[in-house]
Amino acid sequence: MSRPRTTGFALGLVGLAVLLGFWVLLAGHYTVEQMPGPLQVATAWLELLREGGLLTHIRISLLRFGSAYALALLAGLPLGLLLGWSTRGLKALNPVIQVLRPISPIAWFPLAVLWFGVGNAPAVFIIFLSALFPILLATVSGVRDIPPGYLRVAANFGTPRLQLFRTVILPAAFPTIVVGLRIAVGTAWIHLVAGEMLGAQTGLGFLIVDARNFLRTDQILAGMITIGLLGLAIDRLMSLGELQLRRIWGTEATA
Amino acid sequence: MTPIPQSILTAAAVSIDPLAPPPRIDVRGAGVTFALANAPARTVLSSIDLQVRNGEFVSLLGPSGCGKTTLMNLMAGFLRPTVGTVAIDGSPVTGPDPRRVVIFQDYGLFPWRTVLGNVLFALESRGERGPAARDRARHYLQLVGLTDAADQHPHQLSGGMKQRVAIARALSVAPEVLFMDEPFGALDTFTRFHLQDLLLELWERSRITTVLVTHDVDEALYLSDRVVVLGERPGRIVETIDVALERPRDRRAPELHRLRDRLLEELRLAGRWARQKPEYDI
Repeated sequence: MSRPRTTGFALGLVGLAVLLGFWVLLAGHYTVEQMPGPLQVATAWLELLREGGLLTHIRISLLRFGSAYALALLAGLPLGLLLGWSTRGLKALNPVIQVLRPISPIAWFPLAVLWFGVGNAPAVFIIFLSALFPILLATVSGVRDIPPGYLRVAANFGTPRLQLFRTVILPAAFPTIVVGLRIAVGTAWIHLVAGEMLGAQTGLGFLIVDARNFLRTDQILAGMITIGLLGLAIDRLMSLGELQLRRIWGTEATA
Repeated sequence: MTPIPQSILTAAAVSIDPLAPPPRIDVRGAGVTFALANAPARTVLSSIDLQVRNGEFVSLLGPSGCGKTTLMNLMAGFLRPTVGTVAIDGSPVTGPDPRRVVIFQDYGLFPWRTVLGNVLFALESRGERGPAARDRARHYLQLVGLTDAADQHPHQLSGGMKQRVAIARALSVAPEVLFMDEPFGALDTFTRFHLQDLLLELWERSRITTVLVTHDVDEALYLSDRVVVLGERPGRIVETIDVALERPRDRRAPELHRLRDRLLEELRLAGRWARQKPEYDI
């Protein structure tokens, strides 16, 4: 079984090598200000790490991301459970959701600044918005798709309502919810940078804006790569957790 | 026809024989008709009269689509009759109730809970928690021979083991009536025989009123005090056969085979019938 894995890894390396090749070609074509080469970016990254407080920026960005994501969970999960359960509730709120959902979180920028000023709050708000809808919608459809057999068993044993949500509906819908959680991590991480461009004085988004103001293209690229790698790491962590869960439930085959 | 209030009918029927013990389950004139959106309404069950005595083991036997599961759902409270009444211990059935537990063919286990957790679910649903509940759950797992599997998850178990968990879970709440909807239908012959014997052993210990839905003629005869045969279109009771055979029974008993012949004839599965009737008319 290790053979496909190693070939997969090798192919991944090939892809990265091709990307690096293009990068070097591109850097040769442009000036350093327009497109620095990999070596210059690596140097800029190390410089940011040593003197530019890169770790602080990362820590603050992760904190904002984490708190916004937690808020989205806190709002989206219970609301999704309720709307998935109550057909009436869904009918009442679905038009609202469907109108709000296609609005890009970035379109909320002006309002976010007017409401929350500059700094932490608008960034958290933008990230929250971008995570909310994937979580909410996945939870709704997860609940609606619960095999009726589970609910019949619970009805038969007279499971009280709150306990029903906690011990049957939530776990039964979880395989679908998890998909939404992962999508939400992706969109929320994407909007992190955008959110941090709203007057924040810290964070990875600010780092890029700041570097742009000084025309430090090497730092811009270093920041972008950092964001990409962290996003990848978060997604990997999520999928590990998901796999663990499916292993316990015995549904890994369908994963 | 003058419509007569159902309550009067029921009262009259009960007063006919005041000395007989009241039936545990009492189905009178029950019928189920499903209204369909773009088609004529479909009558699934029609004028069902069925009384089940306390402690009796009754099988509902019939081909697929005869409404035997619908009839069980009526008695278990998962479905309301369109006409007629369904009562248990004298009070009308208005919904599912932990005093009447259903065991499904697909086991109805929660994959995210362990074997013990699945049994505990039933106890937690009525507020029982802590060591006492765990002891109780373990006791019922022991009854079905699953002590060692307590910490496993359902996907690690065979079909027969899963159904044993479902039986343990059902019995753990000490129900008054046990309903089983083709519980062994998905199991191989060996496992099915073992589980039938386990069920009999548990039933003989508790004498819990049991209604078994099955399409397996041998299973119905081997397990039941009485076999209720249902026919199709609309679903109705066509015959009731008493299996007055001593327990414990022997699967090879000639009496069982005589009843079996009679049932096969009745269900038109034997000899000349089997060759005459096409399996499906489309």
